[in-house]
Amino acid sequence: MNLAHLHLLLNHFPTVGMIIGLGLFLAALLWNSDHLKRASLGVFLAIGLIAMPTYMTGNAAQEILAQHPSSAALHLTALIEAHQSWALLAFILISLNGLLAWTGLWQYRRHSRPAAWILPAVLVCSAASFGTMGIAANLGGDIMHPEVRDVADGRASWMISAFSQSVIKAAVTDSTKIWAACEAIHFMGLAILFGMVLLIDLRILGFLKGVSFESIHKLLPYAVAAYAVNLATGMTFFIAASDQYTGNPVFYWKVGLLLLASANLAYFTVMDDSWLLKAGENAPGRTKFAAVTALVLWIGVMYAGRMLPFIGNAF
Amino acid sequence: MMDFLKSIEQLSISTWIREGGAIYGYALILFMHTIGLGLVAGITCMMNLRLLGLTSMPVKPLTKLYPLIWYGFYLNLITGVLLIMADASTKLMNWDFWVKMGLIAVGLVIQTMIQKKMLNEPSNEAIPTGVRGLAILSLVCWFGAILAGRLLAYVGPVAGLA
Repeated sequence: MNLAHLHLLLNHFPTVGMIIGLGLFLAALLWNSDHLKRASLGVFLAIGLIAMPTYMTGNAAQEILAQHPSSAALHLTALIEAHQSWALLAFILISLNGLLAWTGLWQYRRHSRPAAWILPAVLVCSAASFGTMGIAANLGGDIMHPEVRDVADGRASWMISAFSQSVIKAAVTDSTKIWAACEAIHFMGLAILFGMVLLIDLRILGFLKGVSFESIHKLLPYAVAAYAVNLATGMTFFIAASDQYTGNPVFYWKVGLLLLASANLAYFTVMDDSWLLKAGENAPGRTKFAAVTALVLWIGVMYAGRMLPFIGNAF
Repeated sequence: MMDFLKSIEQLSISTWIREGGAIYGYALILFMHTIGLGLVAGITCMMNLRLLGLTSMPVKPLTKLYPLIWYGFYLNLITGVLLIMADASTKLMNWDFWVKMGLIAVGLVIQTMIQKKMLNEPSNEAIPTGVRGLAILSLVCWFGAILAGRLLAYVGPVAGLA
C-alpha cells in the first residue's frame, strides 16, 4: 500500500459523507430536531477533518502517477491539474463548513441553541462543498477511467479552465516574504492553541480547581480560530512545496497526530463530562484521561512539525 | 568582535549542537525552545484574554499559573543561549535578533508589573486599574517576539542555521 492507494480509499469519504451529512441535516431542519441537527453538524465536522488527508494524499498520488510510463501517453497532466484545482476549492469549502459546524456545536453546548445565522450558513456552505466536491470527484474518476471521460472528449471543458491551483503555488514559491510571514503566523497560532490546551488540562487535572469548565469553554473559539489560521498557513506550505511533505514520514506522523488531537478538541467542545465541572469539583477519570491525551497529542504534533526539516527533508 | 563570536562557535559544545545529529543536537534544542515559546506566549495570551474581559473565570486561581510562565522563560533562556552559541557570528550580528531581545525584555517587565498588581489585589474577581493596558502590551511583546524570532531565518546576514 502506498499513499496513492490511501488516496483512493479516503477520497470517497468527503463525497459520500457529504451526501449523508446533507441528507441528515435536511431531515433535521424538516423535523426541527435538535438532536439530528447536532448529529449532522458532527458529521460535517468529521468530513472537514477527513478532507485534509484526502487532499494531501492526492498530491502523493499525482507524483506517483507522473512517474508512471503511461502518464504522458494518456495526456493525464491537464486532467490531474484540473482535478487538483477543484479538489483544493472543495477542500477550502469543506474546511470552512467544518469550522461552521464546530461553531454550531459550540453554541449548542454553550447556549443550548445555535445563533440564528449558523444553520443557514452551514446549509449554504455544505451545498457548495458538495457541488465542488462532485466536480473534483468526477474529474478524479476520469483520470483512471477512460470509459467515463467526458472532459477529454471536449464536453465540460469549463471544468479544466475554471481555476488553477498552480497560481497559489507560483505566488508562494516566488516570494520568500509570503513563506516567512506564514511561518511567523503559524508559530503564533501554535502558541494560542498550546496555551488553550494547557488551560483545559490544568483545570481538568485539578491544578486550577477554582475555575469552572464553562468559563474555559468560552475561550475555545480563540483556539479554534488559531487552528483555522494554522490550517490555512500550513496548507500554504503544503501547496507550495508538496513534494517535500508527501515523501516525508515525519509529516505523516504530524497529520495523524493532528487528526487525533482535533478529535480530542471536539470532545472537550461537546461532551457533558467536562462541561458539567463547576468550580471546585473533581473531574471524572475518563475526562482526566482525555486531558492527558490532549497534552501528549499536541506536543507530538509540535515535535513532528519541528522535526520536518531535520528528520525529514522539508525546510 | 567577530573573532570573539567565531571563537564561541568553535567551542566544543557549540560544534556538538550544530553537528550532534538530527535528533539530539540543534533539532531537539529547537523543539524545546518551541515548547518554552508555547508556555510563555500561550499562557500569557490566555491570561491576557481573561484580563481583557473576554471570559468570566475567577482571576485568583489563575495567579497560580505565573510560575509556569517563568519556567517556560527559563527553559527558553537556556535553550536560546545554546542555540545562539552554535550560530553566534550570524545571529548576534542580526538587527532582528536585538529587536527580539528588546521585545522579550519589555515583555518580562510587563509580566512582572501585571503579577505585582494581581497578587496585591485581595478580590477574587476585580481587575486592578491599568492592568488592561498592560495586558494589551504583553500580547504585543510576546507575539512580536515570535514574529522577530521566526524572521531570524529570513532577514539580516544569511544564517548558517535556520
